[in-house]
Amino acid sequence: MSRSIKKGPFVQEALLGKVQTLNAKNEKKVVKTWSRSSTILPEFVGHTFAVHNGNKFVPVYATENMVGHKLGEFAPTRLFRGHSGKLVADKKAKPE
Amino acid sequence: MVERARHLVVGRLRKTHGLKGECAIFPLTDDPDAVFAVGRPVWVLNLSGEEVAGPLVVERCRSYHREWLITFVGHTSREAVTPWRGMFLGAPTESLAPPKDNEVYIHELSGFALVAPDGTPLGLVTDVLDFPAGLTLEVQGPKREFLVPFRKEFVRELDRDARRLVVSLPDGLMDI
Repeated sequence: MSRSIKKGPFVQEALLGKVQTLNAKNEKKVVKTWSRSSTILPEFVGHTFAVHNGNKFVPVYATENMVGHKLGEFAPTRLFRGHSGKLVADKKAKPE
Repeated sequence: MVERARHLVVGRLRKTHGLKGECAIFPLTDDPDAVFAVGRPVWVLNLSGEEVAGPLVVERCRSYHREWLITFVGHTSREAVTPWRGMFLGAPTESLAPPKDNEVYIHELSGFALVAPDGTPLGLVTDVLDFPAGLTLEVQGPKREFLVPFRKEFVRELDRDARRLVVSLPDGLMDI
């Protein structure tokens, strides 16, 4: 069953407060949080969150596409490094 | 000096398809149209990167759902290609399109130096992690390890020849 519209999306109050303070000061600072279940709101876009994955903090840069998702979705708790041995794939990347 | 791979993996031979030597290949390249084009040579590699067969010349290829169905010249029966099941297809590094400006092979990123815009060294990239939010660099800094999202908001300049990334990091990213 989905969450009631009356309540609105869940965001930890302290986290929302921190982001609102940063927005008011027009500052960009990494916001450390354990609240993986907090929803990414439009106010969060452009901020970097250090989301705890149970072991360490994973930096998550909030973009417009992430709005409505939970912070925890972007900080996986398990890491698969692959079986590929010495092989290297023909995969390129550029900062986007 | 960084050791460069002789072959880059361009696909995984998932299974045979039909009775006429067609192989279903899962692409592991950004440009499968060019790499699997008719007449291109490829090699079969095992998990250790050793050549098992090749050069094999692509005779026919077509995309099929998320995979590619490829036939090699001289291998027209199912039995000829069955032993390669589960192995990888590789192509020589020189034969592949080099990265464009501001682009880099993901496997090359390990060992890149991170510097601040004023030239202060920040650390060395030790690993590249594929997170849902995008690629993330694991960096060994002077004091501790930290993570940097591989995004244009942080990575201002990429110099592939000098193996250097100029990054501007927000306050606190190096201390998390």
